[in-house]
Amino acid sequence: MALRTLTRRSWLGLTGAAAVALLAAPGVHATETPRHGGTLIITTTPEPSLITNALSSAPTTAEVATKIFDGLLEYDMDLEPVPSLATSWEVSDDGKAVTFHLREGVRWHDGKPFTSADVQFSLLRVVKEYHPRGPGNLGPITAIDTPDEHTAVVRLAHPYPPMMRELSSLEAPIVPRHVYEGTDYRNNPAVNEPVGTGPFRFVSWEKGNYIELARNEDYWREGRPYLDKLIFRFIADSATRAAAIESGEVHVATFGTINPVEMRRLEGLDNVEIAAGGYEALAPMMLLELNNKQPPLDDKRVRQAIAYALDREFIVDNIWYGFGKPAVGPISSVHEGAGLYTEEGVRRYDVEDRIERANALLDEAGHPRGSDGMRFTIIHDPAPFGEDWRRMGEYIKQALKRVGIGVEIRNRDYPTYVRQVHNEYDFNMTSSWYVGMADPTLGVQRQYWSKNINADVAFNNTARYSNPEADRLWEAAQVEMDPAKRATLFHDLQRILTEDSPNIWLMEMGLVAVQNSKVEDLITSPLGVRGGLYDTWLDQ
Amino acid sequence: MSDGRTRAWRRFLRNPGAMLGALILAGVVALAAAAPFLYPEGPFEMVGRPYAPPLSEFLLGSDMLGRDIAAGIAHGARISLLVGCVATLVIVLLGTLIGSLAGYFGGRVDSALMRVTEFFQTIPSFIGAIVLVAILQPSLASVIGAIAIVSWAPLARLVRGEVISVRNREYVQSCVALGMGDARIILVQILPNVISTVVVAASLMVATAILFESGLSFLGLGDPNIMTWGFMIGAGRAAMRTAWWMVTIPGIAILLTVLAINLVGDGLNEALNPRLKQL
Amino acid sequence: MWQARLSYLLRRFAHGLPIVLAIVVVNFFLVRLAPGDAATVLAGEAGAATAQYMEQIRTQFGLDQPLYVQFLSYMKNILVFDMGYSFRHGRTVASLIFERLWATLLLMGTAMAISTGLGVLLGALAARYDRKPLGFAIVLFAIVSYATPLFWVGLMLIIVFALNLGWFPTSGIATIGADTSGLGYVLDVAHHLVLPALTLSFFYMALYTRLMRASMLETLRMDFVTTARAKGVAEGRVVRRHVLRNAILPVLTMAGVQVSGMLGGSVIVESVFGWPGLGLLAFESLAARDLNLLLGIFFLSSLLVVATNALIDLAYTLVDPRIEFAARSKRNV
Repeated sequence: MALRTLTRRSWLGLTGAAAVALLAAPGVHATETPRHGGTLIITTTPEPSLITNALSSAPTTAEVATKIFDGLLEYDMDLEPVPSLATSWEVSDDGKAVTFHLREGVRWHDGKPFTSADVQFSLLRVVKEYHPRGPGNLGPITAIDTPDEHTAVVRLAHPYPPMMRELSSLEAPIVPRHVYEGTDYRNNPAVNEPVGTGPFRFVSWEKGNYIELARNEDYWREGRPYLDKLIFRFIADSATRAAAIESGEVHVATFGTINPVEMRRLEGLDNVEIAAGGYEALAPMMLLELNNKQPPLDDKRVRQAIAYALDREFIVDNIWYGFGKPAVGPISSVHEGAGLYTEEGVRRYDVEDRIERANALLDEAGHPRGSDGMRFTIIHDPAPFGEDWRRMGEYIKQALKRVGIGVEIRNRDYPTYVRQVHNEYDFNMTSSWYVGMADPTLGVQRQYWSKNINADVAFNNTARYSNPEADRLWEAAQVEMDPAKRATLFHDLQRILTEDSPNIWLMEMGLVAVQNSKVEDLITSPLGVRGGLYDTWLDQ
Repeated sequence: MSDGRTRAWRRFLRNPGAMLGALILAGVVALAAAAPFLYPEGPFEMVGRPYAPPLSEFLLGSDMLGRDIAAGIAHGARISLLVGCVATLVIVLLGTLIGSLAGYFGGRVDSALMRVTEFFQTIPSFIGAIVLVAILQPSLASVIGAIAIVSWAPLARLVRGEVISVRNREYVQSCVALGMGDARIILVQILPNVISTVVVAASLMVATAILFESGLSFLGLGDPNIMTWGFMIGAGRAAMRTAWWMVTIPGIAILLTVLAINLVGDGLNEALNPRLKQL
Repeated sequence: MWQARLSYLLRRFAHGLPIVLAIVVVNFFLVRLAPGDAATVLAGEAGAATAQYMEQIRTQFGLDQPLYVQFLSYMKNILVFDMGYSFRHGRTVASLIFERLWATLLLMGTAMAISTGLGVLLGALAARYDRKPLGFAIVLFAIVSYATPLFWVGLMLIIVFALNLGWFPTSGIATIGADTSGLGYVLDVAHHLVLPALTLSFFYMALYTRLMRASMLETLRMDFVTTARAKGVAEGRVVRRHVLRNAILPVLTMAGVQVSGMLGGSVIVESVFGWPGLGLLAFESLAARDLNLLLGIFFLSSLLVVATNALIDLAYTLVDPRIEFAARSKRNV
């Protein structure tokens, strides 16, 4: 029985079903009235090292912190901004000033009032300077004026339309100025006992075990949140996490905590379901990053050959069990609705004769097969994110062997991996993923922009790809106010990048969570479980 | 001497447990030897449909990537035996060297060497092995080295005890009186008498080393380019409940091999040291 | 008598001290010499490794000092149980370890009680019913258990007893969010303890069963047993009064030796069952290269081993008062 769900055809079917579910607005099935009360237990991994996401982009940090902090804005399922701490906003005609009108009567968890000074401080002094994506995302902000306690005017160096898509609690949380100002932010005790304005307040953190949050009785959304308590539980072993979901001890498991194959099995149980959607604002992309500055991968033809040699469908179906779809280029098809995504004129690597093409390119590049059938050997560092990434490495090793490329797999612990691959560029090929975010300027550009080659900052343009024409297009898209012209710029970029193949795009990831059926309205925003969860309730 | 050997050999042959163990072990060795001929394409090759149950497309089924489990078991047997034997060899060399030096010379040499031995016995051995492998980075050599480093101490202690008891015998004392060199006395006069103890202990250590290796691989600390049984269990446990065979079959392989070696070791123990207590 | 015992115990501890020191020294250098320090770890996790930030961290934690200076300050601090600061957790190592220690002690203590208790019982039964079906079954069970990998046992127990039968929880040390206290909490922890403790005791139980059986069989053949039997003492009484007491000694000795092995086993058991103890902490700190924490755990576990060995020696003298303290301690060198 269980086996049948694992045949390839049914996975594709499931993927299709998930796609349909995406189109329907989440939450519509909840016809019952939400009920107050209860404790929701979420398991995630690894345990974060801090829980203030203004200072870190670590995924689990954000999962916890987004319940404690609010952003100026939130986003609906079409990624359009909706009010949060800001109730309304206007953009000036020249596009260089955005005025936010702030919600009145909002209080921090410690009782102090929230004001425009907090906004100024958070965006300018904390997020822009300390969040790893801050300097890039909020770079154009030159100043924030605070004419009164409930108005904040953001001054920009140039028109910057993408900014309006990155002011959620995930990317730009608003933190309390009175707690942080004048301190060393990273060593402020509040980093691990955060004070926010969000739906839940911090209660305790039992290291190695759980983080407990409780309902913010004073939350500005009337009658929210529904849950009394929210607990993040840390369980070291993935099989145990799956078992905890199955037994109902844990209600929600975020993506990556349970192996995809177990997610498919759990999905078949009566009390467990897959929470469809909830990652659209992230547009996550899985890829192989190649060392463009080092032979043999400094040769475009070799990179293209590797891109041809890999069967993306096999990867999606057999390693990720259908939680994703084969990727075509650097920009996720999530952006198709906004017109930013194209398949026209891009080089496709999923063609029928891809193996022949790969072999031909390798011959042409001057790498004939030796007497043992092999051309050369490269090292592959699987991302140290778990078993599935290692499985993918094993697949890649076998797939490349068929075109005569030997692959030696190197498994490293996380810190060693970051240092070797991302700081010292001592690598050939590594697997990784990035969040494309709600707009390519925010999440994709940094991976390919030559000005973002920086050995000090991990997880950026690690491939060290540098193409002046691509740079020009990225920079133009940053300031372009006309949506149609902007879309054309991105289309051109997709053509250039698929041709140069600096990285190999494998899969648009579906970062779905697993949930107990009694959890209602878990996914109500494109941030999914990284949202505030103030609408979520338990049907007991 | 040869008469004693014949008797020991007979005792071993009459021991049903030992014979069963020897039989299983012979099977494992044969499988390991035949692996390159049975599965020349190696254990990592994706040869068919993923998640094929045993006795369908493949004798022992396939794993999540469509790799033949039987190929993994056959090639894994090579690694298990290799790790078990090489690690044991290193342990025996280290343990015998240190144990015999300490036992033969006694006094300060003895107390210094025994301090070192005690140090290695106090370190929690599995945690020690994990740390060593992680620091040296996972590879076959680092796994074998780590196992040997954390496991030689008990053998050294055992050898020391035996050497002390032999050293005081008359014929050894007479060799000393005759002015025979220390190295020669140890090698020619003492060690042959200690060898049966070492053989028994070593045979059981092969089993322990195999278990150790499987534990390290299970925790993801094995060489990623080599297929081992522990690796198969670690990789398959995610799918354990949908595809029981991925975890169960390598588990049984470990169990049978370790069991066989233990049975042979017990048999040797009874045959060679009929009076010696169990270790 | 008790003074003698106390002084013996103190001598045992004093003997263990250099070992503990040696462990601290070796670990310190071994771990420090490995590439990658706390600064790269923290920077990697925060996603930003600017040279300035790394420098700041290194200065803050004294990582820019020469190795010997770091070592001296480490040794100085360890005397007062100050084991430094865990970069990964943002807390002192001592507070983290002592928070986790009791979980490991509970797990190991229970496992040790189960394994020695059942091991002695099964071993005695196997000896009593030697060459009979029961004896054979026990021996077979022990031989198979002895050859079974620990992690495999854990996974199988989870499937059978936690998932299929639903008798026990799958993981953790207590029900989260239950807010129980007093007896309720104790029972809750006990409920969570069953499967991990059983898993950890499995291998050792097999070991002790074999040991107990062999030791029983040997003792049964001894002269004083034959004498007792000849005097017409009932068989049950012979076994209880004379044989068990003597046969149990090797098991006790072995149990002491196995403490360090059990600590290793607890890494696997704790990670399979999500039991928040030292073993799990060690594995996590290793993966995150949290060096201070790792050193602290090693320091403490070696203390634990030394202390248990001394205690077992003491227990040995309690079981068999004839043993001379001086002679024993000499033999142990």
